Amino acid sequence: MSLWEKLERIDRRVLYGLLWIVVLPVLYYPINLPIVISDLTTEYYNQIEAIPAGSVVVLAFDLGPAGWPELGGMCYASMQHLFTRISETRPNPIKVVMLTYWATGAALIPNCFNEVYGPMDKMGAVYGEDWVNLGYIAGGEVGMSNFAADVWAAKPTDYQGWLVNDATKLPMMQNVRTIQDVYMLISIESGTPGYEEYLRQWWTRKTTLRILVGALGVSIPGVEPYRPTRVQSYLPGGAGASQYISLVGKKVPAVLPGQMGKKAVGVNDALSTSHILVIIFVALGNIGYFLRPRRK
Amino acid sequence: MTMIPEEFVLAAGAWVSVFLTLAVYSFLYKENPIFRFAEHSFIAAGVGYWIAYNVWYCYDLAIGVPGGESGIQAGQWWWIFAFLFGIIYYFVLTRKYFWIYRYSLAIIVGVGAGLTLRTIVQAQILSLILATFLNLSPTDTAGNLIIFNPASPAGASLINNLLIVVLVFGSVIYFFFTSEAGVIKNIGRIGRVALMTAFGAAYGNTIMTRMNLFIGRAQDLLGISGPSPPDQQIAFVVIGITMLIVLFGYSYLKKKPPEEAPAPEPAPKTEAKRPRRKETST
Amino acid sequence: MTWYKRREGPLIVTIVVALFLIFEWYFGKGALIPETTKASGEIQRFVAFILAFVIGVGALNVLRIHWHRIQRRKPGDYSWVYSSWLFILIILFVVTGAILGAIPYEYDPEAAAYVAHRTAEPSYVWMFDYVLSALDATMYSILAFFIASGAYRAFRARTAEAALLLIAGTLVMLGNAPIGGFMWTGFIDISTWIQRIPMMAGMRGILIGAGLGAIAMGIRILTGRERGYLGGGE
Repeated sequence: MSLWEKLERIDRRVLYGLLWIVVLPVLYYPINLPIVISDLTTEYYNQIEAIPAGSVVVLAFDLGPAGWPELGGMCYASMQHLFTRISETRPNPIKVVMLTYWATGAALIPNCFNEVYGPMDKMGAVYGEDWVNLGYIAGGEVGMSNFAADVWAAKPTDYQGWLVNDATKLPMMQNVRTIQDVYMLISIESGTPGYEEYLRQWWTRKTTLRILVGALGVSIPGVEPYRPTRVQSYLPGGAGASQYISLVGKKVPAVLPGQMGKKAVGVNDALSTSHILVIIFVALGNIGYFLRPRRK
Repeated sequence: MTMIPEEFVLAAGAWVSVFLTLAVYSFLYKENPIFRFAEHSFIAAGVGYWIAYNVWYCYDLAIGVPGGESGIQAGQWWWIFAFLFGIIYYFVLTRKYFWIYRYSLAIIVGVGAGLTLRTIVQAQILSLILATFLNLSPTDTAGNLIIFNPASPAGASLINNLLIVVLVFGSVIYFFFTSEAGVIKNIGRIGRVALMTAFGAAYGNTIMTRMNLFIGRAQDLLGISGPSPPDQQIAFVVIGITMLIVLFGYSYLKKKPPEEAPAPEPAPKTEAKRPRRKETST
Repeated sequence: MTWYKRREGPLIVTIVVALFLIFEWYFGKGALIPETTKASGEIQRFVAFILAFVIGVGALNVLRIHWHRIQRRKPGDYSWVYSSWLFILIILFVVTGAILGAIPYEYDPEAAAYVAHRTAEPSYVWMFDYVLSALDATMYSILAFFIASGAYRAFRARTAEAALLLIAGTLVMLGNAPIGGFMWTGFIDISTWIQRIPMMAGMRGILIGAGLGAIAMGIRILTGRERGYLGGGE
């Protein structure tokens, strides 16, 4: 048996072990490769920077724990960025409505803002006046259609059971009745329902709705065809998350936890080593395939 | 819950999450009882978790919170019919009354089909077709035709825009006229080039996603992220070593005994031949 | 078989509901015929409620399957142990989230009353954070190993098209990984070009085809030719 045939028959557990070996040490001792910001990330950032004062922005956490490692950074950074915009646009601040069509996303929203801020009023954003968390809306695409037609009817309460028609507790929701009142949708999503359903149910009702997407790597091929006419920009997976974290970190360094910056660098380096390993695997496999003696 | 110290809650959570993570990864070595335990836990958690959120959503919508505008408590008695249709859906689990559930399903499918059909043309098909009609003579600020811009390789240029138009057209032709011959087939071949490139790029992006997911878990195991880093690190080492010992031991115990000499093949069965009847003269 | 037990009854319901929604969108939306908009909205809210209400069907089905395993256990077969654990965990999730979350046992000084935590019930949140999150994320991340192993053992450039797929994938990987841009910035440009031009064009073709396929399926449903979703039998 030739060397290439032996290599081809290598136990798959050796390959698994190699992946552990190239990822774990680099996370602990990052190489600190520079992060190059892509134009997609820059456009995403600029779109949020350009939100006019007084506009309503919907931040949708349509993801589950499976997507959190790749999309979590986007959630933190988007939330931070929006709350910075709330401060900047006073006395007529932008309003942020958080919601999700995934039950798993509903638990991730409080995790996100608890980890980033602790008490939410730290940045001067008051719950009910500047931002609201509506929580989980059931029904998938049907729920999206309901929300676009009549927000109060689709979700009568926020995540903790407060009524949306209660002007004393949730004053900002008194002016959010249909999709016509929403300026921008930022959807950080890991599957269906997602941007396609939003396009069908929200964009068709308001064709001037701006849409930004935080997409998994696997979703990039599906989102790219809609850019830039329907989806203004998107964050391309984990790489985009790291880039966006570094952009937001430059704007609000005092607020962005240092840990998140370190995590972003570690992820980048581990991504690099793991990708190089896969490329080596592909190359070795093909070289062995072409070089091994053919059986007549 | 407030009686339990928070440090204990976080530490317990760290140990549980590390154990479950390593239990799933133990499948990489081989299938084993620890992985099966994690697998069943995953099914249970995935099923059980969604129930609570949906129960509360149903409550808020159909029964309603006092003071709200939705639900039976607000005078919307017709929600009783929603309950009825929800209950009859459960007859899918029976054999005798299976036919009842079809009516509930029919409404769901009808609404789903109606919602999709009425907007898919505008949102998906027309949007994509219109976006494909690109300017085939893009110019710069001085009015010169941009054939290809190396400074912005993916930007608007004659070559890029023409490629997009041709490749989109070719892809659609490939799907719709796969079995045709001649010119149509050759145009379809061009579409195949786009499709193969799309699948290759999709593969590259999939690698990024999966590696990111693994890196995220690895960060939790190493205590770089998570609720209680010291506990996560200790748990990783302790549970990791214990699990490796258990897996190697399990693998050793499950090993087949050395092969014995093959048993002699049994003699082939021969059917007793029926005695031929002697021909009798009649 | 009586008429209401046959499949034609539900088919007619499907067709009527779908046609009503389409009619409302094109002819009744907004101020034109406001009653249709209101009725359409109510039907959609009903369906959203039903979809939330019937989440229990999946749970009951899973419980039924595992209950049979527990009942039919044989000596030496320990799968019933896992099934029992599954039962316990599902019940734990439901009890903590739906039942415990409904009991107002904690006093909230701001509201000056006992409030129910609902889905913010601490034990339920703990189970999400440390059980479901860990399992969900790890189950999907394990694919990274299978992809890496598949890249070594199965990804072969046997034909020109497979070679094109392989080259495109490799270039995109080099563009995605920061080390690719560090080695040569051209990798980022090439990867960006591949994703914005040929990949985007191919996917657009696929999405247009998928959209037309969805319309074809919808027309099949509207004309009653699509009956598979109703299940077997008459």
